[in-house]
Amino acid sequence: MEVRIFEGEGNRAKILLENANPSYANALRRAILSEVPTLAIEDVIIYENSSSLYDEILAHRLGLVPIRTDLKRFNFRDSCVCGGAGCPSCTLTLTLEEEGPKVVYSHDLKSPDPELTPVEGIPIVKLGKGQRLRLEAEAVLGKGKEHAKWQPAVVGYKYYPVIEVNDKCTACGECVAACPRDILAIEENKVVVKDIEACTLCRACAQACEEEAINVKGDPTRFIFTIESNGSLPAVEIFREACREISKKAEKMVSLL
Amino acid sequence: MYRCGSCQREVELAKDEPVRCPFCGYKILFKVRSSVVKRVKAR
Repeated sequence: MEVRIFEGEGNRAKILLENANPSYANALRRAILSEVPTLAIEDVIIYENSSSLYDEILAHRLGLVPIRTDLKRFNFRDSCVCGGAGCPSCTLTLTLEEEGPKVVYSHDLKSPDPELTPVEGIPIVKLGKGQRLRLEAEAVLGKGKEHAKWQPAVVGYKYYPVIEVNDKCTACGECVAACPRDILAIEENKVVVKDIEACTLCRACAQACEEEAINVKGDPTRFIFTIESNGSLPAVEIFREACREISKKAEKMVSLL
Repeated sequence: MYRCGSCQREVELAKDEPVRCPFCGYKILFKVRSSVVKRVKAR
């Protein structure tokens, strides 16, 4: 199996996985969603809330805010040295103290560490004149399988497209017009594929062709993953962690046998 | 521990006492939020 990274900038990544089978690709996808650890707010201690939202609603919204995570610096709460008491190696405590009239955003949460901040720009609640909000939020490591707030990204994969144009092609251009992604073109009286990786395997081109000259297939041994991180971890690191988690599970299995 | 609807003053009312502000006589009082610190699960 080989892995190649197409685009690895920050929160978006396109990764090619070769010489693999669909079960493995799916396992990776599922691992990204449910097994990659992330920081998210788990407990909210509310001292003052005169906002228009109930405490529980506020807490729910805070839980969903993605928090930049450094996996090397945190343990899970139940496996931490402090025994779950809430020390700095398992818990990140963010504070919020605001008074209206203003909109309280995710970046108004104060973190003890400038590298472990919540992703900015997410509105939490609108405070009117005189309305106050004072709270502490404890962020903890968790996995998507326990609660969606810990899901680091959205993922999808597709087979690597294989488009073959044979000699029956008359260069009529029907397929070129039919393609919703505009990846076909006519060059020297033949239809040519301009950007194979953008193909979505919709087969509109094959349907449009009256000569059966174009054939669209997906290669079930090569996969293009598209990962969009929520900001908690860089997209490429998410993929790496997912691989590691699968590896850990496989090793656990071997040790049990 | 109630707040008067017009003069905003904090008023303490005993059980079975008439519902009116002892300072300004206004008859609508709001209950103030308890000072107990609340711990909520963010789920």
